[in-house]
Amino acid sequence: MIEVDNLNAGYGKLHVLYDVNLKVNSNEIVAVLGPNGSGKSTLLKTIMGLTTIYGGRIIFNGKDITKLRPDEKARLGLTYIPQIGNVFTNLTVKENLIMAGLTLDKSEFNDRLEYALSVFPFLKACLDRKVKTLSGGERQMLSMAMALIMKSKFIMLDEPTGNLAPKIATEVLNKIVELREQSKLTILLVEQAARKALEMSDRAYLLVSGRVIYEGGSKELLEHPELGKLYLGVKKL
Amino acid sequence: MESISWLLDIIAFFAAYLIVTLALNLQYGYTGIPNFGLALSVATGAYVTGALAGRIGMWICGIRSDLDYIMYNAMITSMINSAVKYDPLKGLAIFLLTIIIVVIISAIIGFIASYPAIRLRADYLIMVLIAMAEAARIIGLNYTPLVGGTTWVSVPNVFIWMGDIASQFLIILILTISILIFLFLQYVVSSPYGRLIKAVRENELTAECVGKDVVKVKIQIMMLGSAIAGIAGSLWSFYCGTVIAAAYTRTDWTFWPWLMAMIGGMGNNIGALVGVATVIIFRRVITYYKYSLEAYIPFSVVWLEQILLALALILVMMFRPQGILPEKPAKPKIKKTPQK
Amino acid sequence: MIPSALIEDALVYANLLLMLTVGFTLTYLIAKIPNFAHGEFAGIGVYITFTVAQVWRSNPYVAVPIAFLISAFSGALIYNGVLRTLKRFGGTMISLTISTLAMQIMISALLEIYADYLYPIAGAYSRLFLFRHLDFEFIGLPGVLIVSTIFLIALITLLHSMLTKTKFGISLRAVVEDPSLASILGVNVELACTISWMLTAGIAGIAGSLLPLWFQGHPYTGSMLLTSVFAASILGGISSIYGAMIGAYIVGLTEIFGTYLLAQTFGAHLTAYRSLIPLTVLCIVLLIFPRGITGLIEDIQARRASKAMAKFRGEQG
Repeated sequence: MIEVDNLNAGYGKLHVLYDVNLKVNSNEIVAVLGPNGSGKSTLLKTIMGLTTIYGGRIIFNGKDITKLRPDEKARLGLTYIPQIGNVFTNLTVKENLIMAGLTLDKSEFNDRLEYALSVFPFLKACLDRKVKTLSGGERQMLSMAMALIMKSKFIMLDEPTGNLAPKIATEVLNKIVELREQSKLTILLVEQAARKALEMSDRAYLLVSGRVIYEGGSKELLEHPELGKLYLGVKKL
Repeated sequence: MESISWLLDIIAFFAAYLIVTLALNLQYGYTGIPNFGLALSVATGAYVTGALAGRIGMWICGIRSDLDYIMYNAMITSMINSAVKYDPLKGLAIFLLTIIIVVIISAIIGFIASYPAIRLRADYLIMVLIAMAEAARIIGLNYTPLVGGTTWVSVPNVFIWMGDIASQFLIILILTISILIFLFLQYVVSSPYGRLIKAVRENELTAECVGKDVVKVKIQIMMLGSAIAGIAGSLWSFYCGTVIAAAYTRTDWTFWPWLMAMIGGMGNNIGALVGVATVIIFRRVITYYKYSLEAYIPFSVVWLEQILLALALILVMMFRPQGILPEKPAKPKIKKTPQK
Repeated sequence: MIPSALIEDALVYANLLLMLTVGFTLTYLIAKIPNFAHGEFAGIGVYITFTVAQVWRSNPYVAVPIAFLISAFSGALIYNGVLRTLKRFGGTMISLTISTLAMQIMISALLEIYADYLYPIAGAYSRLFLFRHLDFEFIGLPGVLIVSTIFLIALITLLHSMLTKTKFGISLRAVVEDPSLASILGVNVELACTISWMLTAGIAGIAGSLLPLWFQGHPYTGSMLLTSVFAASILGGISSIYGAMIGAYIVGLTEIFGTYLLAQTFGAHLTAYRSLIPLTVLCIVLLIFPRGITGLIEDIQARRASKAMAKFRGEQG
């Protein structure tokens, strides 16, 4: 569904990603792993169009979307949920959900809103509260609710369990897998918690210092004896 | 000789604007304080000169103090000039006393103008300084006892005792003062204090963390810069021989210096020199060809200059924000250790 | 006994100032920089009224929609031509601010050229004019007072419902807080910014077009109003549109009544120092409560909340 060819990107003059090749097929869950600062978040941001691209292409369902604006990509069905800055704190919960449903028409939005509120029922009570009064975990769940509302074909999640208590984190991860089953979504996942991410994904990429150093099935990687060394970039394949 | 006087006029213009631009460079180029109220300091220097030089002259030359300075300004000025013609010391005294008072008052004004907003965002500071510069002009234009309001005030010709070369001497003097200020500022910016102000510019938070009182430094620089710009205003008034309140506009004495500093290179005193020279030559060329230009353009050259100023500012920021001579990163002095 | 003409002065001025300040604050929220050329949009409006009233000899109110359109267009031009281009070339916040100053100089010069150009055509002095005599009267009140008040109420209600009830308004508030996130959710951020620049410039144009019906118009009307706009905006709290409205009314009324009081106490020549009043307000606000009235209200709410918390803990512990 999405293909990244020889992507070189960064922020302004700061070169972060070097010759990245990546592929996510329809209905797959793919994980991107790597140590801090390896460029995982940058990769997602670049696919969405939020960084400076020096070279390479991004192809979505056969269409070259490298030069499109983020909002144009959103309308094509690409959804990106950032790690931080994924809710509007000065807007109310309801307004955030309206923002998520921007590209939908009224009836579709109402249906999806109902579904999202059924998955996260606590939101029903705080619809008119400003998001800045919510706790970190509540905000994270709001951003998940927003993801459920968005008309996505392809979702990119940046450390979705970051702020959450372990029990809720497991719930959220299960929901994500459910999503893939129910809505036939394709998911690209960035996670620091390597083991968890490998348990729920089909394939994985290992990104170290802006380069892909390993690509393969998640099961194989889980059982790889040198996973730790690979992860830290000490061993090269 | 016509051409020499034309050249000397440019030199006077150059020297005065160099002083103002150096002050701006100190405040914004080195310390990062965007001063869009420069005209306030220049006007202060000019207004103080207009208001006091003559009154000091009256006092020193023992002229009847019951005369209203503004109403009888022409007469009083010519009386002072006559007295100074035969007594150079009186002229020098008037000059020096005026300059000293100008420096003090300009520094105070620099403090007052920056104090409300110096701890706050740069945006607020810009707004306040612009408003203060406008306020100064309004006070100058309306408070007649200051510099005659909508008319003008004459400034005594303190070097009249030199005879024919009086105005040439004044121009050379202004140029010398500008070079002295240049050397002084070069010394300041390469001293530890200079490193401090650059630290304030780069990262206020870090500077504060190492115990430096950032606000105090900024206020000091505002006062120093204001005093320097005040000197320019004062010298310019002595050169013109009059002070017209309306002449100290923000276009002339804030925005042109900004363009000069930006073109030459902010954070770089030599850049200021280059910038001032470039812009002045350009403006003189336009003024010189004013009449032929006005045949082609259907409006006054004054407005054309302003439009070109605005365009130049925008284009410099787009294509060469670092100016002609960008600031070079400081090289620390490394002592050569003897090899064993 | 306060003369009714003075009250009319104050209300008209405060109304026009409110229109300008709301636009200035909105642009500040969107662009994150103060737009120093904002006053010049009003200046454009002033001269369109002069053209309509003096040159075309028509009803001056015809100028209002024309001023809206031309000022809105100018706003779009400045945003797309200058600011976006500068950003593309790597402009910093300070250079964007300087560019608005440059635009102020340019538009001001263009207005002066226009005034000079009109003078022979108009047959009247184009650098200073007043059109009170061309205004209508209704129930004893000057037309401009009624019209500006109606515009005001319309502006406030429409703005409020747009920002809270429409998708565009909510998107705009989203863009103000986090343009990157808004973009990810499908908002064309540049288009939203362009539209809001056009709106704010257009509203300033309307304010400017109404101005000569009560106050004197001249080429530097725009820059003269700017100090009052700053004071009003900062008094209200620069990140609040509703604060801007309150701030504008306070500054506007203070300016007019204050000048009157000073003139009564110290003599008529003091009216020339009128613009020192908003400057004084500005300095007082910055020295004592720089976050403006909005900041004060937030502080009071925070103090109340922490008192409640302390009480709650006291009862628990």
